[in-house]
Amino acid sequence: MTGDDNLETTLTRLGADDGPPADPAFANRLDAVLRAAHSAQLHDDHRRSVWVPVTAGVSALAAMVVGALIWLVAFAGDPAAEVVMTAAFDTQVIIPGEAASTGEAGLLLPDGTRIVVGLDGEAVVDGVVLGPGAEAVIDDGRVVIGPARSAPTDRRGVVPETSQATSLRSMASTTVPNADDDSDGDTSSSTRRPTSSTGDGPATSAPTTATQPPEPTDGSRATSTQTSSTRPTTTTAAAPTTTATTDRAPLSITLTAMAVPRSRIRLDWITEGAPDLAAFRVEAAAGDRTSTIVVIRSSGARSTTIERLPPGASYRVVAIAEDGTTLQSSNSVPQPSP
Amino acid sequence: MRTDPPPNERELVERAKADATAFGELYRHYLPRVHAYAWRRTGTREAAEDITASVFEAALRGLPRYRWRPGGFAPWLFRIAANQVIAHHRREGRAATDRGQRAMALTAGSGEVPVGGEGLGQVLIQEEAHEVRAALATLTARYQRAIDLRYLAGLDQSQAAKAMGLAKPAFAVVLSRALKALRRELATQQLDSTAEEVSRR
Repeated sequence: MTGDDNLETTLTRLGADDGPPADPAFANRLDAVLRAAHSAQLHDDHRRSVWVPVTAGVSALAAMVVGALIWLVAFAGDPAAEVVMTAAFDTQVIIPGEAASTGEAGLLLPDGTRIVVGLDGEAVVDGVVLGPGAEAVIDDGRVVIGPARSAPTDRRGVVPETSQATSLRSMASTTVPNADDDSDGDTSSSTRRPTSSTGDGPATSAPTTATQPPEPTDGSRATSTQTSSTRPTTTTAAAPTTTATTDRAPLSITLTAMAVPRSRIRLDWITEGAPDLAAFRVEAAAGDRTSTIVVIRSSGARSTTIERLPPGASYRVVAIAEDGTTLQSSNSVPQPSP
Repeated sequence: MRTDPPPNERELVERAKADATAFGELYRHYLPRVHAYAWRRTGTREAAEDITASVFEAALRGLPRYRWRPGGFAPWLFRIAANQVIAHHRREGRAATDRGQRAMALTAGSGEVPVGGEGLGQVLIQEEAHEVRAALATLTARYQRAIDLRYLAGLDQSQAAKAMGLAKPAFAVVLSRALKALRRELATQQLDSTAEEVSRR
């Protein structure tokens, strides 16, 4: 069946086969769930998005109770879903197999896409703010900040389709004990983070950083300083929460979060120690769920800006070694108020 | 299955952004096509339903950001559908040959493999379809999308190109390469199958 005409004939025939019709019971259940999700999405006062996990198939669908909507702050990259560029200025986008193009809001970015922000530009991709001069790549449905390690182009400047940025899949999916990273392909609650909400309130010029962090659940002890909302707070890193076996110098990470204009959060962290680390993974948590926001290849960068998440979110930064093992995680910092 | 877009589709899509009933209309209109497409790519009802649910969930999430383009709503929706199919195959980790599913499909219902006359012809067509599905799942995402959108999703050449975000000539090039890759994969499967057959004897 490899002749030219035969293959196209086969494909055409396959395309004409509708298969069995959708089960009416399934269709009605899905209809009800979607209507409920749609209504909840519209009733979000702060432009948060409420996602109902409907992707887990018939059994999960049957178990779903219409009206009992689970409020999730979920951001894990879905390997198949394309990441959305929600804003762009002076930004170039190189989608695999295509010539470079100008970034624009609404662009869908598949895995392997490179984003290059001009010196006067800015882009927002999947809630991650890329500032002037930033470079990022989409890997496994996540934004990975840092120059691509290898992205050979042909003479037209087109990135060959087979040429992908080095995957950080192992880095992006390494699970820290007690964290719940849903990057293992479980789509029962596969959802996408809300897009930025604008106009949440007046811009803040002073840091309103973390107050007392939540008690660690793994038995480690953390030293924290409770502060008022007008003074930056510094919380020392908890004792290592990882079990990485390494003979590298001990590493500690101290994270602070600050509300910045345009409904964004700036995360800054300080590292101490002499680790041989390869990247940082910025995670957000809500309830007992943790997901990766962005991966940053370590090049001295110790800061990132993201769009504000719904209330209740907290953040932490995880340092990752070249082999993908987790070296250390920072203190967990609640999202500061606007 | 190619159905016309709903009347005043552009207006319906805009209303659907804020009106659950309007979204429901869109859903009902496109459900048969999406389900049929998902079935063509997976061959099982359960997988088709999973994918269908994923598609409309993703469409609901993305609808506030959707901008109307010439070609209508279908290219955008089936772009989502193609991505969900690719995600499904990645999760399922389909191998180049889908023997187990093929065997199940062949024996489903009667418990026997129909032989002779039309039954045999149908079996051969099903075999062919399974081989194509398995081979398709091994291609790159871009090639899968091109073939899906052109042949399996009920889009015409222009809509398929729009769904890929390409001009028609560029899409034709990508499609040509995709078909070439699919032929190569099918030929490889044929050789593997023959080699296995020989080694078993």
